[in-house]
Amino acid sequence: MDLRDSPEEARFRGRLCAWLKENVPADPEPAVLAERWPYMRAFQQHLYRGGWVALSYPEEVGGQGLGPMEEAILSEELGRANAPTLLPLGHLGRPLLRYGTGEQRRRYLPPLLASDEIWCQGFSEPQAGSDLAALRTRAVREDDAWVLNGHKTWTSYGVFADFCLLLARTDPDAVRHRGISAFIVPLSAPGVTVRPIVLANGDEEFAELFLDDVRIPAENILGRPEDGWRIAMDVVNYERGAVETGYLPKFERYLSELAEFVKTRTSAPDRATLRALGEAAAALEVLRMHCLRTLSDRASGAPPGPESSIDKLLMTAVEQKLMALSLSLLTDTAVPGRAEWFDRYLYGRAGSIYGGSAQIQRNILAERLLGLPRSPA
Amino acid sequence: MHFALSEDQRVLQRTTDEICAQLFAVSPVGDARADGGALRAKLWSKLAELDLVGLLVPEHQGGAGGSLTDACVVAEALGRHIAPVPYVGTAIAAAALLRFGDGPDESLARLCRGDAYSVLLDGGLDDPAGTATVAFDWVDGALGVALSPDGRATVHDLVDVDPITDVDPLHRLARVRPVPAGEASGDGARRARAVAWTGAAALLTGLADGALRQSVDYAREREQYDRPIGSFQAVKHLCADMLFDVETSRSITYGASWAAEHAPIDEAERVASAAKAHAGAAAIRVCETGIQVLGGIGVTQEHDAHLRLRCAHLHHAAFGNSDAPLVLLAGRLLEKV
Ligand SMILES: Cc1cc2nc3c(=O)[nH]c(=O)nc-3n(C[C@H](O)[C@H](O)[C@H](O)COP(=O)(O)OP(=O)(O)OC[C@H]3O[C@@H](n4cnc5c(N)ncnc54)[C@H](O)[C@@H]3O)c2cc1C
Repeated sequence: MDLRDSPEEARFRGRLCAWLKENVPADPEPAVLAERWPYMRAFQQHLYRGGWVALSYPEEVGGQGLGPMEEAILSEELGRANAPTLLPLGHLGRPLLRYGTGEQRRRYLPPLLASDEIWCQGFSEPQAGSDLAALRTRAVREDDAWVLNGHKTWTSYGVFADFCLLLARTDPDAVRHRGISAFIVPLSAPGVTVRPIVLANGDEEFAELFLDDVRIPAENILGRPEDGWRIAMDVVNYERGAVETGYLPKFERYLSELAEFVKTRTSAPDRATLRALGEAAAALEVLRMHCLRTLSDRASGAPPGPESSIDKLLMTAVEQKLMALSLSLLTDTAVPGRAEWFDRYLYGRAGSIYGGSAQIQRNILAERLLGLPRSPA
Repeated sequence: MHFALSEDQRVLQRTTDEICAQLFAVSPVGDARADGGALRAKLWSKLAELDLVGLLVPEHQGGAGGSLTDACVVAEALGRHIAPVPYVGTAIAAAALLRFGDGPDESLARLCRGDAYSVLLDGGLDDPAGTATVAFDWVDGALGVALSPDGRATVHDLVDVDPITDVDPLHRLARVRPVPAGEASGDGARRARAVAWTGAAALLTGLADGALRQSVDYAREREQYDRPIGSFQAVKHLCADMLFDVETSRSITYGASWAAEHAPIDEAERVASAAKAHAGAAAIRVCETGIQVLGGIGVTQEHDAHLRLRCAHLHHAAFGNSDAPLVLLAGRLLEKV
């Protein structure tokens, strides 16, 4: 146990801080997604060109060939520098890296990591939410193409995306988890219709995808046929980590904003306010240390497993605690910013739903980590 | 940067676990623990013999020259077994006060040999401002340590000792003749407080971990409606929540075990505060949930679940409750913006 930077880590941190000092935009992050998206994407592209994205990906696919500890340092310093929110799509490169052919990695990873091409995750369907293995979208092999038919939903950033990592059933006779394959689907392909869905906070953050006889080349399958479930589980395990999705710095920024609000409103906050602020700060500190521990374990090279459900529950708990705090502070209806915080609060309710609901995470912890017997079907 | 425990620390963990398991069979009865006297003395002398009481004391002062992380590994294991020894009070809080607060050298040496030193707190188990009146983790014959108004750790003979019947019969408190005490303002005293917070967090994490293990074992064995209760989702989710609390407590506590000793004082205090506040609240939740999973037997004196919950409440209250750390964190945040 040694939480000091090694000499290389210290040099890395030094270079990073110097870069952030020069490059974090001074203009504030727009509240509305339609304006926030280009703002976030531009910063992410800039960050990539600076050499600060995909730190733990190999250099030949556009990464930096560093390790998880550098990812932890990045996350910490982005928060300190008050940098814009990252696009929470970092986890989508992982399956391409692990299961992609040489050609697929060369073609897709560099622009994905550079945010020049945007990806989305096409797993959920109207009939297949928590029970993902119930998905019905079909992929049928015809000569040198796969033909896709089906309906995906809750596809985050679907309206902005160029490609979708999409799960479809290739073997209708196989039971549930088997018989599912993963595909790389260009959203520009004929037969794809994207319909935005408006979130409760007004953002058009996700979409439905309709697939009508969409033909994609045979080589657009990722991994082997029937690898789909394994690939999906890998993706969600990465998605459940706070660092991969860049949420840690975002939460730190929220907390600073709330502290600033308290400070401008009163010179002597009451005990209850101090306690509530302290609790949010403690929660973030717990998240920071937990991420450090998770990443440190990962330095040995192992991809995340079911323990990532703890990270996911923690991330959700921190976000929802921050949002509860914001509501308890902004009680005065005349205060500017109240409606924006309320929108963030609404968004915070999604944390315990996407990436597998909080109940599903608990099922995983109980059965996979604690070894409790499976529930009767 | 790396987070994991070292091989030596894993050995330390196993050793402490094994000693406790031998002395306090996992049988659900408080007998061995509640009898106090003999077994407490036996475990304590074993810990002293293995140099585990003096882990925080540098070698040149007669100690084992270990790290706070080492001491937390021991405290966690002791918590897991609800071991009735004054480890947090003597080996962590008093040792840290003597070491970082410039206490007399010969006291440190005696502490390492197994003499008990209670930290002196106020009636609310908080850092005393003005006078200290309560000996925390008191045992017969203990001496008291307090931060005197000049900012140095001072050792006191305890006079007019009056044991208090408080919530935890295994970690005792005693009212003593008041001694003058100052607030932790100097760097050394602040670090000592951060160390005490972290040590309490480690014990609390262990208490919670023990409750989790007990609950999971029970949920696998105990059958109702012809199946193990652990196959009911309502019970599973209780266990999953316990696991969440235990693992997050572990993350922040071990992070603090490094920071409280090595980081600049402001950061040390920040991380230790979070550890104390989080592990305290989490341990109480987990010990309560553990009782729920056990059902009726959990609320009897025939099971040790109540001792675990008692111990969790006492250590959550120690060194200023969750209030002091939370207010400190809020203060830091407000200074920064
Ligand atoms: C903001 C947001 C972004 C998303 N982005 C994407 C995306 O990019 N790509 C994608 O594929 N999907 C995405 N999703 C979908 C998400 O993964 C699903 O919403 C989630 O898995 C839950 O499925 P559901 O909405 O159908 O709810 P349901 O599965 O119908 O669940 C409803 C309720 O029942 C509970 N429940 C269901 N099954 C069980 C069980 N076995 N045990 C206990 N409780 C149970 C759930 O916990 C929940 O409370 C997103 C969702 C949101 C909210």
